[in-house]
Amino acid sequence: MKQTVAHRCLRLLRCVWLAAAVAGSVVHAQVAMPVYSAEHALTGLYAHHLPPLSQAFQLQADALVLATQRHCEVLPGLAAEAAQATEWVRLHTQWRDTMAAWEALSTPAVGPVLTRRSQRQIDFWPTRPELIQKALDKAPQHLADMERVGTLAKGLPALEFVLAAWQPVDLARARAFDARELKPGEKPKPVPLVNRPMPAATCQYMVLLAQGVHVEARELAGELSTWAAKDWQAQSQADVEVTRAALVEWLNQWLGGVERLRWMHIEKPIKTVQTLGNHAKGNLPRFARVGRDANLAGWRAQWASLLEQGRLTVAHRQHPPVPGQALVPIEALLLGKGHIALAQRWVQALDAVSARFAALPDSAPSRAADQRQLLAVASALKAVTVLYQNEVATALDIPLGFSDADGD
Amino acid sequence: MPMGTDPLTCVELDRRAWLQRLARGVLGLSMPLFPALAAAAQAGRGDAAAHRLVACWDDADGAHWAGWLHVAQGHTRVHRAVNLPTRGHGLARFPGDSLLVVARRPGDWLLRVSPQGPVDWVWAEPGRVFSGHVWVSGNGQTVFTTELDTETGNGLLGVRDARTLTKTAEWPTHGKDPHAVSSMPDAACGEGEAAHPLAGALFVANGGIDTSLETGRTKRHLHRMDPSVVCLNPANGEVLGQWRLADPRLSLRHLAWAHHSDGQPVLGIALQAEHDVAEVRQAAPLLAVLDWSSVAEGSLTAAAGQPAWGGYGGDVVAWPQGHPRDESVVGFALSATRGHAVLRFDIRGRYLGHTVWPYAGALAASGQSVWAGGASGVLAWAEVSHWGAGFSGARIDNHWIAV
Repeated sequence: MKQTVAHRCLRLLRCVWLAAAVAGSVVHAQVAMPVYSAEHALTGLYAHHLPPLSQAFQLQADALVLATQRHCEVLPGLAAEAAQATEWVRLHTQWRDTMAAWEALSTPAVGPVLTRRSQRQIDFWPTRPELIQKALDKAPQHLADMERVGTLAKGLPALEFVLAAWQPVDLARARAFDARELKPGEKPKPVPLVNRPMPAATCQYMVLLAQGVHVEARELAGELSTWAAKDWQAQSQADVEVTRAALVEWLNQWLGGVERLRWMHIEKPIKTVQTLGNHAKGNLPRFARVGRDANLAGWRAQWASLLEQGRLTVAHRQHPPVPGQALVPIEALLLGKGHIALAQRWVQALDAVSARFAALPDSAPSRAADQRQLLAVASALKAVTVLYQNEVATALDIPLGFSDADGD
Repeated sequence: MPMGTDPLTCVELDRRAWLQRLARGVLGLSMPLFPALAAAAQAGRGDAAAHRLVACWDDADGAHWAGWLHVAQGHTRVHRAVNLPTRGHGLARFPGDSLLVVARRPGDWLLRVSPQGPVDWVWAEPGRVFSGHVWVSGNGQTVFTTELDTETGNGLLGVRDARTLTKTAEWPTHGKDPHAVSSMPDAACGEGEAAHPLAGALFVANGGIDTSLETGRTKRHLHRMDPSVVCLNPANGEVLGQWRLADPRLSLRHLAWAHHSDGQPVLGIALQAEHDVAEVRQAAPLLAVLDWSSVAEGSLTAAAGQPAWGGYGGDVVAWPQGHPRDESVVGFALSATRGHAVLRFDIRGRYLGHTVWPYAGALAASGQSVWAGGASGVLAWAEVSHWGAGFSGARIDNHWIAV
């Protein structure tokens, strides 16, 4: 079976966590770490780390366009429910892999992802169903027509929403659902709306949404190549300030990425449901994605990316990143500055998050257990934030814009 | 360091027991937590009245709280504390002894809580974030929240039904980065005996700094800053006036109303300097005053004669100016958080002096007393300064209210 991006992210997390668990603290500082400069860090990030992620996202976005086009072509000819369901899963899997590749590239959001406001362009959530319906009413045919559609009805979340709305339903289960609480003698209602064919205009809208994501992936790759070619070596005082600002941006956005994952993606949806009172009792948290597998894939992709930028791999401990030739994670910056003990605590905090993520089951447990496990992930992420704000940023001499420690 | 420090009596206190209680969850007991404060109060003249303060604070573990603190006879009691999901910031009293608390910008929640009752939460709708401040209309029927449109970064004033806190309208604040919102007191006088033409109108401080949802609190495009104070009709959001300082790098943020002896209003505004050059930033004025006494349309000017105090004004309150028995004569007290002092200004914004107070932040005035939060605790400051008390371990947020 083809290995998906989501599965690769999960495997990476588990490998990192297991390696850390096996190796324990002896993995630290076996090899002297170079002193890395801001130029090394930025070259590693923009020239070596992000381009492969950008290429991966572009490939997935290409595949998503093809998959939606194919979906629209074959769907009318599929009479059997099983065939429809298989086709739906195939497209949804491609959507999920595209989303995970996007999360990996855009977490944390730096460089062209920020300047283009790409998160807003293709990943605004929650999407607005009423605006999607409005857009569908206009029956856009070409990408140019989509310029009149707002970002709140476009991008990956809108595509997922449409796809989820047309997920084939098991008819037997649907009838059983409608048969609940029937009075004696009352017949189950027919289920006329279940599994009706997706209108061609709706399918075309999905194609246009996928094409929009593809265009953004291509534009990002183009702009990223400029960032990758940039010489961060300062030639003047103005260069020093530019390089310094870019380093500060990366390290601030890394923390912003952690907080976005912790608060926006995981904790806020749970707290929102918990605080809405009795009238909302029983409501499920509205996470960024519709299904559990998609949410897990998205969270894990985000964390895998943050982890890669935060922590050295076991191999890198033996052979530290070559300055200017590889990504320099935050741990390497700390070790290069001589903060050995802090780097160890840093790795422990990161590994605690990895362990929490690795422990999340693919299938949701009971609601209470699910929320408890997710809040434990959030708590581990919060510990990373606090350590970063209180000690790591200071050790790296970086002012924080995201900090909880400043005023207002 | 500027001269003229006022004498203080400060007592460092161990807050471990209190923090341990905080760690166990919501505090509902009224028990003395700072016995040493009693001794401090008795050692001073001790004429600062007993006070309840409502505040937001972070404990030593980084957990966020809002609630009621009671300071009397040297003891500080926590009457009720609510655990917050993120850091709280602005507060407003609400009819019936309840309290509104809003998340620090870019914030997601607004809550209403009473000393005994349940907590009502409101969450920002998609495309909007709270900007840290909330205000209740004089009749108690409307709640105003400063907010941001996350698409454009433009400031908005959310208009909410006070019973349900649901939004009924949105008005532009005609600037970015809105901070505090406040009404000119209904009793404010204009020329002669007439009421001031803007009495009851809403005033919003637009900090003027561009931010985006993707970069959180990171300041962008400082060279394009456009801070202002805007006055809005409380019935429909119509712009009734807008004022700017000559220096656009002075961000206008927090508000306090005072008045001349004839009842004419003066709005004190705490400033945050954003100049590129550190020396200029450090020396920047921390207070501006919007005054109608000499110019009918109102004149916004920065404070004069102030030494360098770090470029960051935290909070501002109207304050008895040195004539304790003449309550009509007031000036302003302002916390210079990075200068570690509470500053005093007269009604026209002329600098009068300071009291050293590490990480001075939240200020509340009541009668002749000013209550200042800071890293060292609570400073109860009657007339000039009588006694203080340590409040270390937790960090009180930038604002609180005496109730």
